[in-house]
Amino acid sequence: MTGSPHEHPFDVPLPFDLRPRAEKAVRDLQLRQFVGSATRGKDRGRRDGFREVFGDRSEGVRTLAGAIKQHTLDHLDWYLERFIEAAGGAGVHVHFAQDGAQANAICLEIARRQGCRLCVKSKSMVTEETELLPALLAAGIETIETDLGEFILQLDHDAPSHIVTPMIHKDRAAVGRAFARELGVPYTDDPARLTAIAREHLREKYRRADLGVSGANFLVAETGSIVICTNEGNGRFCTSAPRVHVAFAGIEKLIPGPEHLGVMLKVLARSSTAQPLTCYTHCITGPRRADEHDGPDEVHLILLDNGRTEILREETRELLRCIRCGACLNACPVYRRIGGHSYGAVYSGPIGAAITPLLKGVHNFPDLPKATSLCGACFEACPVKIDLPRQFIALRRRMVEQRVTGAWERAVFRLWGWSLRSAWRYRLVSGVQRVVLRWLGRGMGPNDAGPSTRRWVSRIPGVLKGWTGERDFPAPASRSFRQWWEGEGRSER
Amino acid sequence: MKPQAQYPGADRAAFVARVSGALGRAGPTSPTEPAPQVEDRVARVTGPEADLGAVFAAQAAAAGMTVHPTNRAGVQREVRAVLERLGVRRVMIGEGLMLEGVAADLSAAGLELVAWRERGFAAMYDADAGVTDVQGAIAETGTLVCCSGPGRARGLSLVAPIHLAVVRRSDIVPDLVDLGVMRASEAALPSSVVLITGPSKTADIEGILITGVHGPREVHVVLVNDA
Repeated sequence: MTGSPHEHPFDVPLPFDLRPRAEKAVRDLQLRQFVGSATRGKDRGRRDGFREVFGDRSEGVRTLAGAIKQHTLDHLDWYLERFIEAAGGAGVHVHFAQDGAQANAICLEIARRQGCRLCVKSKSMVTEETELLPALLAAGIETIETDLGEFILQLDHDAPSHIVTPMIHKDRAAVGRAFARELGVPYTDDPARLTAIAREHLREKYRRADLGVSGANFLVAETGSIVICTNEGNGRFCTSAPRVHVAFAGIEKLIPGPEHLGVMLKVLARSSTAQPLTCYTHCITGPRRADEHDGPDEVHLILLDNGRTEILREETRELLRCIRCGACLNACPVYRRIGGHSYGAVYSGPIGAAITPLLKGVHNFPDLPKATSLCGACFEACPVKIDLPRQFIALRRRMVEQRVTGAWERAVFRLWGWSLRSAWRYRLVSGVQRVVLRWLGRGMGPNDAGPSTRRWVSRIPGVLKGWTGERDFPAPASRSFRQWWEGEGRSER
Repeated sequence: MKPQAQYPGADRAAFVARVSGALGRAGPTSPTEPAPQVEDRVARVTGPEADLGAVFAAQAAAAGMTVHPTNRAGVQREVRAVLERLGVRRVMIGEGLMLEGVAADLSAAGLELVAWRERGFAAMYDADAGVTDVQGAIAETGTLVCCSGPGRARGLSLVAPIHLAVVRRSDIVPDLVDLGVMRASEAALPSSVVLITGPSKTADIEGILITGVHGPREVHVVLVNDA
């Protein structure tokens, strides 16, 4: 089947240039208002939830959750083997995919062997990563996203812009238009009505579907269980109604045992939607058994690497602790302004800015490690305490080592490094800089009278033009601190 | 049976070897330090000393479920009263100690029993309500624990717009961290364990909360004081 209307907006020319997308997003006032108010509300909900339930133990429970994930990652090969044995023992077919194309090929082969024609899919970031939907459609398998947000995005040929709330960038009128256009229903922008339309439409699909695809939030090594957290119930339909269930999971989803699951569940929903627990936490251990009435005849799990073993190396390992709660997106002052699509990849926000360059090469996404103010709000929000600012700095170091940074940037920093090597060099460079900046700021003081009056530079040519395009730059004082100190400063004490 | 061709994808040994390589070792070796202990002083929110019935009822209500307290003798009466009040006509009923006699009682009251055993999911789409017992409940979060098994279909708590669950006071464990204990006491983990905390909901459209998306719009809990 060709001519599938689903285009992937993350098929971006490389190296990816963040600026045009970010600029467009920043100028879209409605988007900014939506994303801003939604993220601020969730961020507040997360803080309140933790404070109310854990009080001054909040730090401790986050430390524990982080330690559980870190321990599993430190021994990931061992826990993987344990999981594969336990899941296999429960009757799950476990598959191994080195990259996204392999994962999709496995899924298509399962569908082919089982003769599946209609697939219902629940929300899964990892299938966004492998671009499963277009692959299934291209193979002639009718595939429906069943999470309400993802369903709307599929109808509207759009892509998710938030890990948890995929259509955070869309308003109800856009949903109403998409429903009217694609489903042939009368236009309405009442969210309750729109939800009811989606429910009816998707029930028809559940009745007929023979393949259900899901992601996974956790894989429990000891029991071989696949754990899926959802709110709408579509995930339960996708994993219960069709005769074949295929789950996709990155290798970082493992945790050791069920006692750890309790801790991870305590932090996941609180961090992502400020709920104590998602409406449904579904723990699947193998297919329907002989004495059961419903459930899939076959359960397959596709374990995906797709660059994760690169991140698993010691320096970046902590990034794989991520449980995709979205708390760092909601807390991030950059994400709140530029939205998810500006990041040019499936994973957006601070965590996306850190892992996308690692998964796809820093030379391909050189803007992302810089798409942060290093304020640390993400670190503070993270339920597994990933030190994202530290990772951004490490990525920037890697960019310098791999000479990914631009010629101008390199020249400026080389000069800076040179000037810091002795006192006279520093005095020379800072003196030149002061003279030039004061000259550029000439006539820009409020009253250009005395030497203490602050001057402002409103336009710097060359590489810094962009900076002064939005705001003025304070020019240095007429004398440096050193000059002042050597003159009257010392005696003024 | 004739051997099937290999699925596409990587070989298990090579796949795991890559992970070992990234960890800087030749192959999987058992961890030198134990997995982190889940200590009560760090993670536990609700202790066994709490009034579990009261905590559960409060949390279940906060999650959007309606709690109907009763005693052992009042189960049938309460189930029927709730379903009649909601105007339920077609009902599917699971098996369980707490549900004995419920089907006969509802049938006598004129409700139609859906034959879900024979037709599975296909029959369930026509039901107005599903009635189940639970295999546990969690006070901390007001959660129902529903396991699959004989007489306990997955769809009973999912497909109909109304789910009614009968929970005994003695089913309730204090906290999510007690999940590990529940597993240890069972011979084999059921193929499906679902923790249900409130009706199905979404806030995907402009963050406006809507209940009843794909799963039940209403969840009613008949809480049986069997202490």
